Amino acid sequence: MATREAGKKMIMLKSPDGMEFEVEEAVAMESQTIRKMIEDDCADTAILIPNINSKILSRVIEYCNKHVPTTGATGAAASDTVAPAALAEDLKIWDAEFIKVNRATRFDLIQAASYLNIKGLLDLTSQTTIDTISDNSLEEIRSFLSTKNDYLPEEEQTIRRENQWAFQ
Amino acid sequence: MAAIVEQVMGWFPEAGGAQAIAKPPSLSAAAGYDGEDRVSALPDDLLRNIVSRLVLKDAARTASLASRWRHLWKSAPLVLRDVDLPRPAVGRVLADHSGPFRGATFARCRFAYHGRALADWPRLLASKGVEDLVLVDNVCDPTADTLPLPADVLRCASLQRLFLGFWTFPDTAGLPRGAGVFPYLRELYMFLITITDRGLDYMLACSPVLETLALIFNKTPERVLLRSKSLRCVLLWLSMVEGEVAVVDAPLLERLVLFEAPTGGSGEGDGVLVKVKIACAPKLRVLGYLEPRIHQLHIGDKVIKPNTRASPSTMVPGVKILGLKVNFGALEEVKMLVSCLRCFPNVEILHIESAPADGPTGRHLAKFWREVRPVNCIKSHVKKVYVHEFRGDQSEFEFIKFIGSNAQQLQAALVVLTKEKFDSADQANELTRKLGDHTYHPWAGKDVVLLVLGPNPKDGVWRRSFRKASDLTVDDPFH
Repeated sequence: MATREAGKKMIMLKSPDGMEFEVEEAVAMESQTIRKMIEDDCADTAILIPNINSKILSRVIEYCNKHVPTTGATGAAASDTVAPAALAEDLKIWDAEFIKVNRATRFDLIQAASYLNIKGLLDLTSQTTIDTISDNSLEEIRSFLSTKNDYLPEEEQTIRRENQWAFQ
Repeated sequence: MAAIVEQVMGWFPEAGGAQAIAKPPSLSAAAGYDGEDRVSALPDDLLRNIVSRLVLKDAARTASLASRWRHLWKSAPLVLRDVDLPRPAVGRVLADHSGPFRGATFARCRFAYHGRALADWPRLLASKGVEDLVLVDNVCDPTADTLPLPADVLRCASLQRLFLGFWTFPDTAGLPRGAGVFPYLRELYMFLITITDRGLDYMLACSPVLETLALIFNKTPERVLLRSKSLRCVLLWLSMVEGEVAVVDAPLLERLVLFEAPTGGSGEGDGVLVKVKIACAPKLRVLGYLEPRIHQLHIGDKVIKPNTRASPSTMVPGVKILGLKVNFGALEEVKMLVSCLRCFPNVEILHIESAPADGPTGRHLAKFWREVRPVNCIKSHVKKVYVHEFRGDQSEFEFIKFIGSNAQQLQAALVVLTKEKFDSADQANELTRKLGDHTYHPWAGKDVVLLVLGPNPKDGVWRRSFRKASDLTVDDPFH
């Protein structure tokens, strides 16, 4: 486990494509999965993050860096002078920019957020999908999600009848 | 009555928390279409997580998207609200869905017309792990007898928050008892519930982590006996209790709020007082409104009377915020006010609501206030005094004068005018001038802020904020 200036604990995260990321422990612990590994002492040298390529992992770290609580010795912008509401508003704007990515990246981020168990990131990345499903026709949703309708016509009829109330 | 129900329901966030808010679809994002079905490739858990954030109707529609989605919604932890779907669908969803439900709200159904639903739904809900349940019988005639609450609701161990409206609480004799009945229940609201002393005892005894108890428009139980190791906040909102409200043993109770009541059902002035007893409440910090004309305060085993001598056994030293409602023109009430104040020696914020006089009193009580022995909390601790519903009667001025000449730690006096006085610019100005007058302003020269304020624009009982009263992060619920 590396240690850098100001006694901040550093953690090494490694993506399957061989890239290494040195991050502050507090930032890495935004991920409940990593937190558990650290707390269970399974993180002596470096933590290998399976299934998350370096491009996505670097974005995840960017998110955690921004969202790590600013109190304590994390070195992030001091929040003392900023009202919490303003800080939250600032984060919201930052999030909105952050999530302006193509769909493939967004789904990768959903999976990464889920595996690493980062609730805020999962909420953020899922929201577009949720917005899509709400208030759109089935065809529109399928088209947006690139989901192929694999039902036989009579099957689709049956299912629709089962949940007829949801279409009224 | 519908308006009251709506108002009361408005105090509560939807069961299960906020719903996903439908935004205008951003289908233009489909520009990044790459032909690959990435969503369906996500693991079940993740898809279920997404589905669980949808409103029930949208969630159920996803079954039609593709076979991959067909059964997902039936195991996603959703929120069920009877206003969102036709009634037959409610039963169907309850039967089809495997649970758990994050929340369920039944506020539209008239259960008297749906005997079977009444039998089935609570049983299904209980078996499917609902966490947050609002069960209100949408009765036609609110004065008629209420239906018995299905006992299955009392077998729902997963509950964390329970709001019941318009029911008669069932006999608990045959029900399981003990801390395992509601191991997670933190908040319990009872709105127009007919319940016996034993029923309430049962709920308290079976809910080991219950923090908030609210009785709203309740006429029962006759005696509210608070015995709980976990309760932090108790509210009686327009609830008529005939006998007593007693904090028997509530080591964590921080707040006991009695708003606009409890009044003895037998009416005022006939000598039957509701006992407010404080036996064991070491953490009690906020108490009010006590009303001498309808309450009889007991501390420990002592009855507090106008002439009670203060002693450690008649004091509750932890109370910092106290609310009292008195008619300043009635000598007996004013004596009781002083007697009550002596029981709470460390009060820092004092709220006094001036009750209208029953008849012409004509007594200004100047002599009483001049001669009264020092009151500890006023002398050494009170930092802020609010006088609500101030009309400008001479007797009210006498009290303000008393505070002004005695409260050595006072930082602010806030006088809140009645609506009538505030609406008339002339009268409001006159009262402001008079309050600023040195005769009634003995703290002149001291560092005291005197503010004359207008009343809360909301009418009558609604001017009190129920949310504020039950929100323990709000320091002063009477403000």
